Amino acid sequence: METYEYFESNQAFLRALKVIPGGIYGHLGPVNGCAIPATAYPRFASRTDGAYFWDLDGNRFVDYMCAYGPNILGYNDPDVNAAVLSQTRLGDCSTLPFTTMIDMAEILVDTVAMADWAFFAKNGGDVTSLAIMTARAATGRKKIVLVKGNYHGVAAWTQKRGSPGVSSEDVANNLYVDWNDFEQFKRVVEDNRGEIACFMSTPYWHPVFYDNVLPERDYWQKVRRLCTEHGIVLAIDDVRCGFRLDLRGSDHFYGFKADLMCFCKALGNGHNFSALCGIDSLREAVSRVMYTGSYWLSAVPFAAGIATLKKMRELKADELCLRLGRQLTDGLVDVARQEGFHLKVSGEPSMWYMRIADDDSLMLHQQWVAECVRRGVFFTNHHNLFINTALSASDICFTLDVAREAFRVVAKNNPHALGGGW
Amino acid sequence: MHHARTMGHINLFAVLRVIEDLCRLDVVARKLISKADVCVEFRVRGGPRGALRFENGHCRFVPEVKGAKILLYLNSCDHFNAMVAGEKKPVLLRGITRIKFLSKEFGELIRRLEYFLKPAGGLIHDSGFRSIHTELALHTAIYALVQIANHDPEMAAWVHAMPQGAIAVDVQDGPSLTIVNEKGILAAYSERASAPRARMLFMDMQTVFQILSGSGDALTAIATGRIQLSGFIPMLDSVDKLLLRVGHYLN
Repeated sequence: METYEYFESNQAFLRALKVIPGGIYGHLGPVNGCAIPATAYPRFASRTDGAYFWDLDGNRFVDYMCAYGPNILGYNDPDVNAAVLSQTRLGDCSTLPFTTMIDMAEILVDTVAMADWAFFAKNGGDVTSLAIMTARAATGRKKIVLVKGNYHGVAAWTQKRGSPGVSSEDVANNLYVDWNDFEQFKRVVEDNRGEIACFMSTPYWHPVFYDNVLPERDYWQKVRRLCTEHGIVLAIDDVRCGFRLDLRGSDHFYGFKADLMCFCKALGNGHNFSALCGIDSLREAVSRVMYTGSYWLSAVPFAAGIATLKKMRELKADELCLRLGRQLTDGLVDVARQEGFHLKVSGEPSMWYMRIADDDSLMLHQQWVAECVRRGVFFTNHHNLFINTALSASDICFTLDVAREAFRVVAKNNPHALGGGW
Repeated sequence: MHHARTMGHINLFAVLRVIEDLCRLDVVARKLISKADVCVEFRVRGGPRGALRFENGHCRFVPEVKGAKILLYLNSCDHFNAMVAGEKKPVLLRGITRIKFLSKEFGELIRRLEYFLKPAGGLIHDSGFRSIHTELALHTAIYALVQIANHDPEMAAWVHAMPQGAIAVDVQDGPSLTIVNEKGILAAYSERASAPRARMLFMDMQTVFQILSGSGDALTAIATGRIQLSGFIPMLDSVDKLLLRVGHYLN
């Protein structure tokens, strides 16, 4: 197989460095630790379609990051595009909202099992912050309980004390527990009786760099009961998992009912908006929180969201993504085994995490992923990956062929590792 | 905001410690200690304790020492930090007969250290000077990072989150250091790690100089491949946050 070069991407990146801090900042950039070595990765896209994107050098990639989640139906989905064009002709950002906002709320409330209402914003972080404020408004309490390693955005309260730009006071009311440790959570609740406003978590544990962990049997049911007993608002950050496990919400998937659910990413198939869904008893609290933004009620993203939700329902996108993910990950594990490697897959198959095991430095895994990327299969090293419904059987076959060749390159370059530990 | 106890540990275990590297790298410093056979201990009440041992033309920093010929006592971390800043004197508890070494050779070594770590005028444009400056600054920064990790309460969350193991800090065709995290206690050594769990590779000393002097930024250096990261990146993420804090203490 030919390996890709990134001449145009690198030239553009040098331009970017002159006028943009870090060239490309944040999770799409080369610095955040999920693109190692940075030279193996393209920097800029030239176009997208279906399950693919093309970089500036014309290289095509089967995209398993899906824009870090938003792309669930495939890029440039014709039904979503048609809805967007139609609404664009009517208007988008305006002095008054369009009724597409109501349509969007209705279909969301109809789709998500726990939802009695929907409140819209732009990013996932907007609605995780709103969930915390709503819980505080409803309970009159300050403290919140978070799970170590979970990601809820970039607002100061979501970050570690000692991070640049974060003061001790920003995180002073945060209490942290280990994932899946109900007894620990129970102790924290008892030690802070009457003081905890909210328990927020993702539906399962999917941090970067660590094997993802599903909830233990009855974990969520016990958490739900304890929160109800102590008047704690149970908020689920479904920004990443949302619609890839269950269109009715990931709480429904795991058999419990959240009080608040945060959605973004797949909600509009890449069109930018987010939603906080809640139960009736929190309707008053959320409406009392001063929370708004210039573009939050723009109509075009809602039109995209309506089309996306309709199509996801038609396709049963949740089941399809899980099925495609299972096919792909089973294939990758098989190919790895045939080539003498142990590839460990964790998390749910529609947004799985993987690593070459028996190498706790992860350096072999970084080499393998880099070889895949150079051959047109876009993985990142240490973030969970994503499936979209446009992924075809031939894309999966191509991916497995690339994976096999990449394993062989790594094996050739690391004979000592294969001889010693597999 | 500085934490006096952390600053005290940095001053002893990072700033004064690099006198051992100064004596290795700088001909003038080496000559100053060529005939010295003495150990200078610093004892700070409620703070750090350690010594510089000079013998056989070498200097070695030792955290534990018994019977040092010269014992300098500081009655608090603030006192010690003021001494390092040149604002206060230590109490000489032992070594009155060695006072000549303290006032002459040792005093000159301190001035030599300052000469390299706080370069005046256009000295930095001299390649020989810059090479020594950069290597000393790198050692100081890594040693200081470890002290911040072990003592600064502001950074406790990052240290707690830091996975265990060895981190290699290597410069291509240049010095290597190793940071080890063992059960939340960090240590740094001036040697190449044999089996690091994570690695930060600077492609040249110029990049090290740019990062430490603030004339270049680390994110751009990573993005352009002048710093290459590999391995278990959460370890390097913690190192990055600690390094930022080093700047707050030492600049």
